[in-house]
Amino acid sequence: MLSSPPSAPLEFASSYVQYVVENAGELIELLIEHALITAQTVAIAAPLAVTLGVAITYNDRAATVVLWLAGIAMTIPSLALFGLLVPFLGIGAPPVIFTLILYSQLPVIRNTYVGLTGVDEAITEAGRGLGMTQRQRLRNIQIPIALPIILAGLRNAVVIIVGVAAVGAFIGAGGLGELIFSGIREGDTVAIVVATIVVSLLALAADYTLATVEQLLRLRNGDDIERKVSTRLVWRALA
Amino acid sequence: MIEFENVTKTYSDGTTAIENISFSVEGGTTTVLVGPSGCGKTTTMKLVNRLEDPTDGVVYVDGTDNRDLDEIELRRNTGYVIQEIGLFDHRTVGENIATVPELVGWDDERIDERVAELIDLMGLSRDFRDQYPMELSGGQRQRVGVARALAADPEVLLMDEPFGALDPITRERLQNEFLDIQERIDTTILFVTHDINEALKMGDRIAIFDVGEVVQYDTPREILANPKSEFVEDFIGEDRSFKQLDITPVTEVMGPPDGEYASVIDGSDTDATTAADGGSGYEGKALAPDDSVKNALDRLLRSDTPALPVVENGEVIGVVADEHIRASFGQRSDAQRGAA
Amino acid sequence: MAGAIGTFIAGMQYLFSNFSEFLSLLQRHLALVFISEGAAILIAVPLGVIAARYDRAKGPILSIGNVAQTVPPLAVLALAFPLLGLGYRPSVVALFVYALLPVLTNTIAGIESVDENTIDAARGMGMTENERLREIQLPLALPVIFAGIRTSTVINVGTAYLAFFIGGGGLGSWVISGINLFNMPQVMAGAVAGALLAITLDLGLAAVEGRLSDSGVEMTQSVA
Ligand SMILES: Nc1ncnc2c1ncn2[C@@H]1O[C@H](COP(=O)(O)OP(=O)(O)O)[C@@H](O)[C@H]1O
Ligand SMILES: [Mg+2]
Repeated sequence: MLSSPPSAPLEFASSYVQYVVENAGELIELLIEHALITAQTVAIAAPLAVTLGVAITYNDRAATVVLWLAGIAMTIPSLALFGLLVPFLGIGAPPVIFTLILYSQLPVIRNTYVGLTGVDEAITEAGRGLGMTQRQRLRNIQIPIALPIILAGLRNAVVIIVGVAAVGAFIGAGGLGELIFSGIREGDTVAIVVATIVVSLLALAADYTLATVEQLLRLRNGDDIERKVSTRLVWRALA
Repeated sequence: MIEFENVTKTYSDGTTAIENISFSVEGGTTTVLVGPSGCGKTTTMKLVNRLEDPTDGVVYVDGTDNRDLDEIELRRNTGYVIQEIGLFDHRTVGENIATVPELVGWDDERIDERVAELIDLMGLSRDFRDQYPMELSGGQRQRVGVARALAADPEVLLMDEPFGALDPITRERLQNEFLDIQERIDTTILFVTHDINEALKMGDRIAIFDVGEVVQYDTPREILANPKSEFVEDFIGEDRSFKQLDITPVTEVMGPPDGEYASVIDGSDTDATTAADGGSGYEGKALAPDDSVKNALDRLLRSDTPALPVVENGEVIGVVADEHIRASFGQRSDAQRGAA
Repeated sequence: MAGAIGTFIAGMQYLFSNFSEFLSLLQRHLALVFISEGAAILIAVPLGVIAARYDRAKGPILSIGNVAQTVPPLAVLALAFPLLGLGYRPSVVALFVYALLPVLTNTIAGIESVDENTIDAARGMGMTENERLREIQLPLALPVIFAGIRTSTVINVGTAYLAFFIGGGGLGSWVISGINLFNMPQVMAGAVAGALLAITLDLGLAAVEGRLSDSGVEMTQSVA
């Protein structure tokens, strides 16, 4: 310990910097791949889950069944689902995206359902009194009030998607998981750490962006919240 | 006995909730703190059982600076009905009420009896005992809150707007019931409200708060007769005379039974039906001694006789007519003017 | 659909014709999950309780917890390899770390969510800090704490499959080698066992929770 040269930490850090510099092109490529898988999943999964969440507010039994099924889906090991889909969808991104869509249903459906059914009776009642149809009430009252909660569910889902997508590299879907797998194979610590950090940053960035949107929606609903820096900036820019 | 001596409380964020207040609550009596919302009533209350400590001044409980008392023990000896009720949602009504007796280690049998007694005392059905608070109505929750505070026979009872969130009818019913209970227990009560009518009704003494200070500390009658400032006068409201009539018993204004009204009341029935009994009150003409003058006036206006008998134990002890009410009122305003 | 059912049946056949191997894989999988999850609960709940008491600790722990939760499970396992090497023990440690956070954040959030007025009432009645914790805050926080434990356990069962990548064994062995060899019945056999395990544990925990709380407090589903 005592004899270790003062420059050791620097050297240590420099190996990471060197790795990042040397592999910048590949890192960016994989990052984009990863982000694309995530975005494609969200583009399909979010509308689907919200629709399901809205639909089950009309029927308690359907709600129980759908939420239960979405819960079951989450217990299937992702890796196994990827593998089982390969005979049907081939290798690469499609089986991964399919699995991720399935995985992201529970948080979004649940929050949509809870958000919509949690709207104060008195408020929907008032809407009825004003002569709004059920559709109008849903669109003009319930969904705006529930939207921040739905978004919180989407945040959960996105973090799961980014994380599980990394495993998808095992069946050739690409993305930052490739670096992790090759890192394990080759015993390359630097690659593993860098890939981990980049994937986490991607998840954090997505989470933070959605959190900001969620806060903006809450502010629009008149909630009193502790605002993030980003929320304050955007809110001021919009005002 | 509770005494506030030049007490100031400034919270850590710099808010001075109360400044240099002094008043006392005699043992066995009820003192009401009344004032607009945010004027420091809850803070004052929390200083008694040391949920907060004063920045300056001393709060004495039975003559001892309460900072010299063990705070846990002090709180267990002090019943506390918090403004928001704060029932424990995971415990049944019975378990909620049993909280302090369990904390201080009563045996099961005694706790059991006490809980049953309180459920009866608060006019709750015994079926509620095993229900959870969420299944109760607002009024029932308030009753449980009060029962829980009374459970271990505290010497001091703190009640923070206990009837605040109730509809007027339920509130009035609970007020009346609590007045009854109050007579049966020998507890020193500090009662907080923002409603002057409730204060006049419940209090032996009233401390009127303006932002952070006590502006008048007197009996209800003294406050009505001699409001010390414009703030107090405004706070009492336009109908000060009515409020005075409301808290003055008829015995104080009635004339002798054998005077000029003897013939009017002669032979009238002597079944006093008091308004407080809950009857409509207008069938019988006779008044009870603890009927208010306001009550008497109301019945006079509705009846076809110029005077009403005041009856105690079947015997006429006096009469009340228009002029008695007017006269007593006049005298009082004269006395006021004289004093000023 | 027919293909899926066919694969399922073939999977079950594979499972029963390799039953003793299945049992040893399952045993290893259970060991990975139980040891890591048990340790996570034993450490995270008390830690959360302590953290909830100290305003200054709470904020940082929650924000670090939320950031750390975005680290993908594969990455946590992969990181265990350079730090601790390959094998069973590094896998348990990685799973433990990954299981810790949901329990910790839910414990803090659960205790935090107890109504301020309820606590005030308890204080006013002369409950000591420990009595308040034991009799008011923990029982009221129980549904939220259990939601954390259940989520964490279900995720743990799934994440344990990835342990095979760093030599941790378990049901991942069938799934991964099944994918590599394109042996779908083997993949199916490994997957079904894990799903059933996750569902069983989740139901079991729900039953334990029902036992523990045994009260009128409605089971609140955690939102977000
Ligand atoms: N814990 C606290 N910290 C800071 N300020 C407080 C606190 N509690 C009360 N206050 C402030 O003290 C003042 C008096 O509050 P309170 O005693 O609750 O009034 P009341 O019960 O009469 O409505 C208010 O301005 C309130 O905002
Ligand atoms: Mg108050």
